Amino acid sequence: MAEMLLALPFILLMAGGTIHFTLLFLAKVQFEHACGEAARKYASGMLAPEGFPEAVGQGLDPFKGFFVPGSITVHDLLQNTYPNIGKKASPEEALRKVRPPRTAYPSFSTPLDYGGWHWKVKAKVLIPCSFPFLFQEGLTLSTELSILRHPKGALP
Amino acid sequence: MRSLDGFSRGPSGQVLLATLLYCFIFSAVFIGLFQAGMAYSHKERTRRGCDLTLLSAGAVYANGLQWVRYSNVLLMLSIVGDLAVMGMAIAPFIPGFPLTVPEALIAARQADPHTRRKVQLLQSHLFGIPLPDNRKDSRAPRPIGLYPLWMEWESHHAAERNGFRRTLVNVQFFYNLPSPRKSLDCRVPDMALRFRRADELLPDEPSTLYSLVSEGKRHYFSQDQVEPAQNPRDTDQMRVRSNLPSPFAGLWVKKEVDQNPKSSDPLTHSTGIGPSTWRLLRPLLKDIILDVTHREDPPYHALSLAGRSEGTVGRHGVGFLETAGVLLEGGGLAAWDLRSPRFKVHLQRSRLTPWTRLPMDPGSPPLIPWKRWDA
Repeated sequence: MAEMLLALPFILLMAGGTIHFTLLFLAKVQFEHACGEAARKYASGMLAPEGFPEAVGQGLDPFKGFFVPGSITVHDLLQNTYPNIGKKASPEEALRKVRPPRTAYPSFSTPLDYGGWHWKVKAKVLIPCSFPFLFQEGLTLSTELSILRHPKGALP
Repeated sequence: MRSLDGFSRGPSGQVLLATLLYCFIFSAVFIGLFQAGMAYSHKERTRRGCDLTLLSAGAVYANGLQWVRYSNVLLMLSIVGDLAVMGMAIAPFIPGFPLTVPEALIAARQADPHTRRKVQLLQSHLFGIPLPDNRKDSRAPRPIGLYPLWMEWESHHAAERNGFRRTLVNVQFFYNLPSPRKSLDCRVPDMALRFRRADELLPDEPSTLYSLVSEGKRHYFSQDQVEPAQNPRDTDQMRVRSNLPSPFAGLWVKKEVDQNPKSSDPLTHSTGIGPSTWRLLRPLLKDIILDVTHREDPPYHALSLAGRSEGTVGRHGVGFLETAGVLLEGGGLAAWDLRSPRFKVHLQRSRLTPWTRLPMDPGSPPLIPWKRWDA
């Protein structure tokens, strides 16, 4: 009986680990999928770049409970995104370039009327059944994606 | 040894063995789960990368089609400029009209600055459009335009930013598939454009349809699929062309009622000029090259991608294959379409079928340089 009592927690621990792994991977895939969906919305002109983090958050929906609220951070790498060849720009500069000022002939504003972003997205995931003493702030998921759209200033 | 044997037969030993067995099973489940999870995540990233790369490439393509509109505006301005110069040249001959018409024509021809031809040459090199020239062989290879090359370059960069490595090998773009053109042509950057001739602006001649009913089902044939039936009692009787690869070749057909009445054409209706006048004008206008337009009608601009993402699952290297396609939809490309909405890029799931049905040249290299399709 004593041996059984010793073995049982160990088996339960492993079963818990299996469930934890399953949920963790499902959450990771959902995170990748949510980032892709938000980028697709941006490409179709349905989303302004400022709304990207919120759209990622909404896309996590079935697994939203496992993510730490407010932990989604988006960094713009903006490399090789035209017309900034090889340059890095601050988010404010980048936003200015994505939303050119409206003119009487907006189509003539720039010859290369497409532009986009190279985002690095991070989010923290905290599976309840995991080992809280090991991952007190959750595990950080990270991904990179890039998108161009035409015309670059298109908004709903 | 004997004590170990005795221990394993006891209750404690049995529990220990069972626990070890469970550990082994769970370890296997853990490793399998981890590898499956990594593979699943990698597959999702590949799919996303493929979609975003194509949407980015489509954005560059759509921007190029907008450029075509701008270039057509430039062409129209150059045509107006050329006409103005020619008009000034013939102005001195106007008082003597119509007796001075030959001199006026010669003066107009000599004064023609041919600015439009330079703009057309620019369009040809910029967008990779073969410039119609009756003196040249029509089967001559079409030029690769600067903008399509830029499109390919940008697309590979987009693929690289979306996680594809060695993009020249792993990312293959296919332009305007399915295409009647042969094998590797669809790999050459192309925008599916051509030059329009002036006679294309005239209303289409009403086409005649012929039909026959076989076993209760009506089959239709166009005018070029039929020939005179050589019937001495009815010289108008037509039949399906005898050399047509059709089970109905040689059978008699009946002329259908014209579905396209002449009066329905807006140009004919507004000008009051009948189809017979258009027919006379058509050969004269055929040699006049106008602006750039879609190669197909209705327009078809598509871009497909077969991408392979390299990764590792456990200690094994794997390659995930993903295919996708985008369609570009918008209005015309003429100068008067400048204010039309921009071309929109629509993502669509693509299967491998268009690639497998491509007509291949014998001895040509494989379309995709990967060893396995079953990745």
